[in-house]
Parts: sequence; structure tokens; C-alpha cells
Amino acid sequence: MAIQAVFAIRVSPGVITVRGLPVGVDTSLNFPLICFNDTDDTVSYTIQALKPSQVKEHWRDGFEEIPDTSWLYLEDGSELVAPPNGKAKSMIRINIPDSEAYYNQMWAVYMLVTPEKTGMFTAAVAPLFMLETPSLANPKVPPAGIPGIAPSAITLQNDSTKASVMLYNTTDSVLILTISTYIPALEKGSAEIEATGNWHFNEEFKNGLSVSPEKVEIPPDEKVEITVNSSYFPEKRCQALVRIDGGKVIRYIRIFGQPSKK
Amino acid sequence: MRVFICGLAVLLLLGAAWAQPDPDDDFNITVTVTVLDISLKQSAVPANDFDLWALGPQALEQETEMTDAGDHILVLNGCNVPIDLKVWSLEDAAPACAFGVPTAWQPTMAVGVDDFYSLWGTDVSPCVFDNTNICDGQTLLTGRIITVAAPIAVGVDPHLYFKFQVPSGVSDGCEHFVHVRVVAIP
Repeated sequence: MAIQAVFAIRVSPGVITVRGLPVGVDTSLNFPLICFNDTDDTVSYTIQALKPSQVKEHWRDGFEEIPDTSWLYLEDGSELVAPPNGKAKSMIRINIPDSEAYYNQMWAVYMLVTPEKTGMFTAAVAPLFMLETPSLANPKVPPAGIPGIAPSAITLQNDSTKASVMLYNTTDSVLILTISTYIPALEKGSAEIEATGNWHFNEEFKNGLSVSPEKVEIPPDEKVEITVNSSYFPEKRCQALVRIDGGKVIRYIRIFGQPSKK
Repeated sequence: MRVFICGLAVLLLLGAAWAQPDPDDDFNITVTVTVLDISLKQSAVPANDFDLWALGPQALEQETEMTDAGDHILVLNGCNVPIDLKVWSLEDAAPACAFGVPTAWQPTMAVGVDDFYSLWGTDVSPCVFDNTNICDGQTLLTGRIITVAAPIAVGVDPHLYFKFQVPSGVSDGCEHFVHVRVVAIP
């Protein structure tokens, strides 16, 4: 087998968001990682899941580091071999341990893909995976994260305009948080937090949202309740975010707006 | 009977109109960026891979740098998302030689200890590499990872320049290899 120096790399996907990941079940995403080999020789690739802080100082707002990178893995192991002018692919899987602490999570993970090292310089890429677990109100244990949030998503409509969310201080010091409504910049090419399916971000819906209180101080191991209220519902289903500043990273709560009933 | 069936059909349609899927728990995948794609090319001849930085035999503490006039690395950026370019150094993997088992070289801010080398990287040109007077964008490999260019906009092919300094002293006379990954990170 000939292994040639690789100075180019092409890998899919580049940035992906997966929502509704089951907790406690080893799950295939039914989506492959693909390494395209554009050379005339066989190339082997090493794949390594990394916490965001291992590769960047600042990553996507709203996403905490996954507690354990080994939860995200490839069905065929950490080494893929692509034939000349061919591709290697393997299904991506995730196995989140069975705990209610792992609901309501938004995690980021990078998968570093490196061709076999040869010369002094080698091209590599690190696709970004943004992973969200289902929303769960009143979990039996405090949700992971700083702050822990439950539920991480709520749906409002004009006969149910208000909802509560609990914020948990999972640290051993006082947590001071500011809370506001938010939607991300929608420039093309930005890989900031994505809307959910057809629930598009809507500025008017965001402007009609209010949160109370807008600032909280949570002692260690305690929780506080905040309320989200909507005074506006558009014709089509839509989405906005509640943004929480003051934790380790910015956190978001997804707020879904159902169309007005006529 | 026909009236009953029609009535039921209308009720089902009404139900469909209001039965919005609960978005909270849907399993779904959104691919924001399909492919990450970079190539390391010779700046002077972009059709050619940057396959070698020919340092050749080096004296202790000798410095070698890429320049605008000479060849440096052109990164063909095929990513459709802004990326950071990071440089990761890998463990030197020198094979055993007549002098025995080699000691792996490590990156450092300033050479002065046996088996520690320095590596600087930047996407700024012209940039005079200087240990004390660091020009804009220049970063020094002090650990295993540095940022050499960030953020790189979609459609921009950055040029990368490196400077390498041999350790001030070595524990062995073996040939050493320093492997560097140029990593595109969205």
C-alpha cells in the first residue's frame, strides 16, 4: 500500500447541528463523516473528537463543551482509509449516558480529521458538531451546564403566553446571570446558532418577548425561576431565543411561537 | 352515511391544521456547512503542493524563515464558512540512529534549553519575525497549538509564513523531524 504525502483535505460535513438526540441510547445519526481522497494513492485519516477549548478560544455562543468527547464516535473506528480518487466514510454515532442531567443540553464538539503525517506540513480540518438533547421540564437531577437550564425549549401561543424556566447553579460559587431576548445575526455563511427546522427566527416575535427577572443571583446548588412572556404571535410559526449571560459561556433557551389562533 | 363521512373528513382536516409538531424533541439534522476543504500550495507555483520546506542541515540556534520573495505557503481555501487557521506541532518522531535513541524536540518561546525549538507563524506580509518585536498577526508556537490566521473570510486564500529556529543544544546527533498540521477550524 502506498501512502502519499497529503497537502489537501476535503471532509464532509463541515458544520452540523443535530437536535433531539436521545439520552441513554447509543444512536446512529444516520449521517456519515466522509473523507474525500483526491490523490492517486491510498490515504489514511485519523479522526479524533475534541472539546472546543482544545482547538479554539471562542466557539459558537450557546454551546457548552460536551462533558466527554468519547460519546461522539464513528461506527468504523478512529481511522479511515480512502482508496485512490475515492472516499472513506463512516456513520457518526453518539452515546449519551442515561441521566436526566443530560437533557436540556446544547453541546459543541470538533472532530479533528488528519491525514497520515508525512512532510513537515500537513493540511487538516476540524468539522464542528453542535448537539442538542431533548427539552425536559422538572428533571430529577439538576441539568448539566453553567447554569443548568430546564426546560431548554418552550412553546408559547396566544392561549398560553407565559412559561417558566428554572436556572440551576451547578457551581460552588454564586452565579450572577443577566437574561435577555435575542435572535442571531442572519448573515449567510454564519454558523451561529441555527433556527429549528421551519421555526424561523422572527424579529417581531423576539421584540414581543419579555423575561422576568432580567437579572438573577443564584447561590451555589440552588435554583431560581424565570418567566418568559409573549405579547405577539405572528401568522407563521417562528422562534426566538432567551439569552443568558454570566455563566461559563452564553446559554440560550429556544422559544417557539405558535401562530395565532383565529 | 355520506354526510357522516364528509363531516369526519372536515374534522380531520381541521385537526391537521392545528396539530403543529412540537419542535422541542424532534430529531433532526441541519448541515450548515457541507464541506471543509483546504490545500497547501507553493506560493510561487500555486498549482504545486507545498511538499517540502527544505531546511537542510542546520547549525544550533540557526533561524530560517519563509519570505515573500522566496517561497511560502498559499492556502487554497475551499470552505464556505469563515475559518481559523491553527498550527499544531506534533511530537518529533526521530528514528533511532547511530547516536542512540533521540530525544524528541519540543516547542518553546525562546530556545536556550537542549532539544527545544521555536516556530513562528503568520499570515501577515511583509512581516519581520522578531522574538521581541512581534509584528501584527505573528504568533509564536509556545505550546502545541497556535493561531496563524483568523478569521479567514469565505473566498480568501491566505498566505502563511513560518520561521523555525533550531534548538540551542541537542541531546543527540540524530536527524529530527518536526511535523506541523495546518488545521482549518470553522
